[in-house]
Amino acid sequence: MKKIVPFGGISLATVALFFVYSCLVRSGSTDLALQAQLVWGTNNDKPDDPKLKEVDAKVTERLRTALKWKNYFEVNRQNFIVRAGTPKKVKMSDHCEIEVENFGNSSIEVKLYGKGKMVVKKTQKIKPGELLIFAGDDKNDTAWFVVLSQSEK
Amino acid sequence: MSRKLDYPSAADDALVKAAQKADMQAFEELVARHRDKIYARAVSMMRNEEEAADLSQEAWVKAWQRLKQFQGEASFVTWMTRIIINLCLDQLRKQKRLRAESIEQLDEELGGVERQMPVVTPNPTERMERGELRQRIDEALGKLSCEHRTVLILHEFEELEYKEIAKRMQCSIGTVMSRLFYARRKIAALLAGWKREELR
Amino acid sequence: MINHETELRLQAYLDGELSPGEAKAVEDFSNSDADARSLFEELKLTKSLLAENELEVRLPESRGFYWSKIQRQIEREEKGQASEQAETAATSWWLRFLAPAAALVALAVLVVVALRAPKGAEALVALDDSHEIETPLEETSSFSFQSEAAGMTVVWVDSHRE
Repeated sequence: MKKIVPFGGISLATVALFFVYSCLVRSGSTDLALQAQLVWGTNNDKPDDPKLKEVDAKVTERLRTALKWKNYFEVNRQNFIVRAGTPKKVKMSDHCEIEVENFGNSSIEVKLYGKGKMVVKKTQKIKPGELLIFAGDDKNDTAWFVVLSQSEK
Repeated sequence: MSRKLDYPSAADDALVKAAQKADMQAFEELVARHRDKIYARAVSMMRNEEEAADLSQEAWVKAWQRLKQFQGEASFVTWMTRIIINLCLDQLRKQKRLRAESIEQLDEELGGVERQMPVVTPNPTERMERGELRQRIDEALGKLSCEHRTVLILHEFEELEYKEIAKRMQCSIGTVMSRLFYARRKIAALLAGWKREELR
Repeated sequence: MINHETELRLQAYLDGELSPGEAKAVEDFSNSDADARSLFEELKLTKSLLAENELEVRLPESRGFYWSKIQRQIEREEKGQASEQAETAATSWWLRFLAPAAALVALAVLVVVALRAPKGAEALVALDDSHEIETPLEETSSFSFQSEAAGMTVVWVDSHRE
């Protein structure tokens, strides 16, 4: 009978490989500082929730360039750091989470979770100054957005 | 030993069963039978023949891929129509994201315009030939915004209930009712307006 | 003049969307109010005109030509899926028989490179720039677009239930 290398041994070698690698490069050089904003878009002048503040004017202008809503209000903002090889999960609201994995060289994979289920996964380079936005419809012709960007230093 | 299927005379059910076992000839027969209806639905929703042709082709490919999921809970053509409607709705939403709405469309959405239209009596289409009437109705549909036209198509042509339309269009039942009301009144006003012009 | 809520109830009555009790109330009202009656008749006429007069449209392409396009697309997509599965099968085979040696070699190389790399060097692993999207749920679809002017990528998530 052919001798087959046990899969467990291979897994162990592979895990050891990545563990050593990640230890050696974990010097902060591939850490990515990100900001995620949960935003609500509407054509109404005021938000339903009076506590919500308008999104920064520069970001609003950029959103208006490509999207049809007039006003954008910030629901939540999270600043976080993602280390290479260590995915980071961030809660944006009771129903919305994102998980970001940093592959280095400004490349990230983002998973968007709605009510605990993964809704969409996107791989993207995110250079300083650029925005990666996940969006969807909300009731009464409004929309929600999760706006990701590199944190300003 | 099972007899080979006589495709042109086989019922849809038999063709679907055969297609579910990877009989592509059976599927081709289904396409030939129902392609006009699926295409027509796409044309009425998209108002663009090229787009409608592309979307209906995509619908058939999706149907082939999902055929095993079809359990016969509705007729095959109803199931196919659902696929093409969802594809059209997705496409319309894509287009909606990227275009600015005209002031006219916003007015329609906000409502109130239909209340200024006088009630139309008597029947403005009396003595109109069938072909001409269908053409006029199609023209009138073309003058509605895509939201109003979609609600009308789903209700009047696909006979969906308010609740089902609201689910498909991701809006409230109230919005469905208002849009349907506006759309019907607008169609009536257009048909009456054209009749008045002819009589001058 | 009747209010908008009543107008919508007249419509709902016409469409069979009211309970028997509600329908009776609207019917009685419509019989007693001339404006309501006129509006009801107009809505009823429009509904019947639409139901009986959808324009018939035929696909301009011939049967054979249209089918050949569908068949080609089906085959293309099946081929795409098949090559993905073949890659996975090949990868499993590779992992089973060659991985131990490869793992050790790679480990040695990476240890050497990492030790030699200056501080702040870029990571060795990089994704390709094909901007993949995955939408695993049956009732959800997504598409993305980029705005160069605004320096942003938008991933739009649509959910629809059948």
